[in-house]
This record gives sequence, structure tokens and C-alpha cells, in this order.
Amino acid sequence: MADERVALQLVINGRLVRGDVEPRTLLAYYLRDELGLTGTHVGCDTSQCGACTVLLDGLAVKSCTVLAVQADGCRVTTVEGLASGGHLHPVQRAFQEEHGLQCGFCTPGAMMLAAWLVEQEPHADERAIREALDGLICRCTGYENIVRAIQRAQALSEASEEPGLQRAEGGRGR
Amino acid sequence: MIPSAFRYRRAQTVAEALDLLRQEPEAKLLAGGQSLLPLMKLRLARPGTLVDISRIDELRRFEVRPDRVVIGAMVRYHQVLANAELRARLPLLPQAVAVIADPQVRHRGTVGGSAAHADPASDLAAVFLAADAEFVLQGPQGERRVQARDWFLGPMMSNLQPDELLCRIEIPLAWPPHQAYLKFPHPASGYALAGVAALVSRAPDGSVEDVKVAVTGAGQLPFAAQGVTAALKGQTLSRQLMREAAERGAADGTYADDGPYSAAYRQNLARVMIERALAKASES
Ligand SMILES: Cc1cc2nc3c(=O)[nH]c(=O)nc-3n(C[C@H](O)[C@H](O)[C@H](O)COP(=O)(O)OP(=O)(O)OC[C@H]3O[C@@H](n4cnc5c(N)ncnc54)[C@H](O)[C@@H]3O)c2cc1C
Ligand code: FES
Ligand code: FES
Repeated sequence: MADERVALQLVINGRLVRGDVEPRTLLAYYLRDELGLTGTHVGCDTSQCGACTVLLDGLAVKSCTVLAVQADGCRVTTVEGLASGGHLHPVQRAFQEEHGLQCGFCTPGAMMLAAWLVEQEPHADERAIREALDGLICRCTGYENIVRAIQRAQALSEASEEPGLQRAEGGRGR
Repeated sequence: MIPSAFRYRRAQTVAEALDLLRQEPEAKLLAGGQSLLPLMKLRLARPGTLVDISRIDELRRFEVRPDRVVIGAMVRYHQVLANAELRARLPLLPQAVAVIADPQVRHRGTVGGSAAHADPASDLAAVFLAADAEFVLQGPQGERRVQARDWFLGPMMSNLQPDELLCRIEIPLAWPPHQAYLKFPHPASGYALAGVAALVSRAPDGSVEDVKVAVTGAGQLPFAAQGVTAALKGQTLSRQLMREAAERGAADGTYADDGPYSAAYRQNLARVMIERALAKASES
């Protein structure tokens, strides 16, 4: 039983990936250990902190609480997939400009949650932003600068001609 | 943390899932995984096989009909929040879903998974009980329907048998939109220390035609606070009357001491939250 491996195929950051995994492999570990995408951080490993957040078919999820086999046939976007063509994603620029991080440990998760929110609810007010941040534990910033960064990302996305996440992901196989 | 090894099978139909449940050793169904995977990572659950039901189309049905809402077991929380018709017809349900966990968990977790898991502090338990949900199951013997009042048999124990699958939940649309779900979350876990669902219908003269309240989290099991109905039916609402009704409703629960929260504290919290939910529902 322990030897069973399951084939899977998914599109990660716009690139088609084929592989096979033990069914118990969690998506976070598949990304980090098998694919070398170590931008996704594992913080608590108990579904609490959100540091491991990635986008699964465009929706923010905790990759420590999703099996890699559950993501078979899906699109996955990690923090490595935010920038495109040498251009930072509006969320990345906003986190830089507003100093939305200190130690940086939660930041990949924070930015993926932010990328989902800015895409899904471009006009979320401060209250809605704070509610969404329920899915992220940051031990450093006290959240103030993260909230500001998300607000700036909203403005940058609206103003910018640069590709947002949707277009950055374009050209994917499915 | 890594779960112990298991086999993975993906079912395409309900019949296939039932066959796998019967054939595979120590099989368990996998829906959104937001309760099961954390338990498996802690090795508190060690299924031999996981039967993934997330791709079964029949379980993703979601219809708001004139007389009832039909929610397939695999409907995820975020899909409930996105349904505008539901917000108009049964606002209680999206109100409760909105305060479950966080956006990431709501993107994965399912209505059916919450029902099957039967956590005595799950937010939806109060909604199911207050709104008289009906659970539609499939098993080797065919279909079975279970009323909400017969669903929660014990902590983490629903009426489901190990060889059965919950297909859908049907909730009658019998109430006007005077509805409220209010939650007092545990400061660390975010689960309900007390969560109250309240439905109120008013007669043309403003008196209470009917009222239904259910409580999750506070008691050992989620419960319908029938004392509230007895106290308020036919009456004209007042602060004083709602207070008395809340007292009687809270007395319908069975409470136990639990860490820092004594049984008396829990019952008092249920009373306070019932009173607030009644006020909110009747003002809505
Ligand atoms: C960080 C965090 C915070 C949370 N906070 C809250 C909260 O505040 N309030 C709350 O109510 N919940 C909370 N939850 C729990 C969450 O609601 C779960 O998603 C839900 O309880 C289970 O749904 P699921 O689809 O993920 O089920 P799974 O985890 O896939 O399954 C749970 C159980 O139900 C069984 N099952 C699933 N579907 C079926 C079916 N169709 N038929 C038969 N059996 C089935 C499985 O075999 C398993 O035993 C939280 C979870 C996490 C991780
Ligand atoms: S590592 Fe996944 S939620 Fe903390
Ligand atoms: S920046 Fe250090 S945990 Fe968030």
C-alpha cells in the first residue's frame, strides 16, 4: 500500500507538469520537495497560519491541507508565478512600497491571499481586507502595513496596464 | 506532518463511491478535506483508502427552488456565499457560512462535509436544526432521508452509517427573511463557543406567528431551543419577553465543564447569544 503512486498532471505557474506521487503527499510538499518551488512556506503545518497559501484554479487555499492528487487537472499558482516577463505583480510592488513585510516568512502566503482578494474583490474596503486576513497569521507586522499594501495593490491593479494575474497566467495548457 | 499511507480512489458517480466504500479496506470519503486531512496529519485518523467524491457531478447540484433549496453535499462554502438568490431567500445560511474559518478554508470546505463530520461546534449545525434541514443519503439499501433533529447523535457522530454517502441537503424555504446567525467565537480556534440561528415570522398585527432557534457550540450537542418557541409564539415581542425566552431556550441544552469554560458559563453564553440573535432576526 505504501508503495502506491498516483499519476498526476497539473499546470503550475503556466507550465504543464506531469508526475506521480504517493497519495499522502501534500501539495505544499509536492511544490517544495518535488518541484523545488520553495517560495511556498510551511509555517504551522496544521491549517492555521496561511503561510502555505497558493491559488488552486484561482482560489486561495492552504497547500498544507490539500493533497497533491486533489489538485490533479487543476491550475496552481505559487508566489513564483506572480511576476511575469520581468515585471513584478501589482501585489509584489505594493508589498515592497508599503513595507508589507518584516521577516518575510508569512509573505508568500500573504501575497497569494492578497492576489486572490484583489482579483476577486477589487473594491474590498478596509474591513473586508481585514476579514480576509483572518486566513493569515503574521507575527511581525501587526497587519497594518499588509492592509495598506493590499489597498495599494488595488490601486495599482486598477491603474496599471501591466498584466495582472489573469494575463500573467495566460498561455497555459488548459 | 505527513499522514500515514493510504490508497487513493477517485469516484465519478455515487454508485462507484458506494462500491469503493464497501470494497476497500477501512475506506473513508474525502470531500474538501478541511477536517479529515488535519486529523490524518495528526494521525488521529488513518483510513486505508480515501475515496475522493469531489468530482461527482451529482453532488455539486445547487438549486434554489420555489419551496426549498437543494444543496449537493460537495457544494463548497464559497459557492454558498456567491449565490444571490439564496441570500434573498435563506439569508441565515450565507450568514453562517461567512463566519466559518477563513477564505482559504471556505474555498475547500463543503456543506456536506460539515454535516457528515458533525462537529458539535460547527456553525451549520444550528442552521440545519433551526431551518428543519433534511439529509438525503444513499447506501447499499438505497435512499434514506433523515430529519435534522435526528442527525446529531453524538459529538462527531451523525446518523450516517459507514457504508452510506450523504448526497444532498434540502432546506424548506418556509420562513420570511427575518433571520439571523450570531456567533461568539472561541478566541483561539474561531469555532463557536455559542452560535445561534434564529428564524422569526410575524403576523400582520406584528405578533410572533412562529419562531425557531437552534444553538451550536455551547452544549454537548447542537440543540433546538424549543423553549423559545413556547415562550414567544403568539406574543408581541418585547425586550423583557425575549430575555425570558432566551432563558428558557438555553435551558434546553445539556452542558458540561470544559477547560476554562464551565457548564454554567456555557449556558449563560447560550442565553445571551439567543437573546441577541432574536433581537437581530426580528429587526431584520
Ligand atoms: C483552520 C480551520 C478552521 C475551521 N473553522 C471552522 C469554523 O469556524 N466553523 C465550522 O463550522 N467549521 C470550521 N472548520 C471545519 C470546516 O468547516 C470543514 O471544512 C468541515 O467541517 C468539513 O468539510 P470538508 O468538505 O472539508 O470535509 P472532509 O474533511 O473532506 O470530511 C470530513 C468528514 O466527513 C466525511 N464526509 C465528507 N463528505 C461526506 C459525504 N458526502 N457523505 C458522507 N461522509 C462524508 C469524511 O469521510 C470525513 O469523515 C475549520 C477548519 C479548519 C481547517
Ligand atoms: S502551513 Fe499551511 S496553514 Fe500553516
Ligand atoms: S512578516 Fe514576519 S510573519 Fe509576517
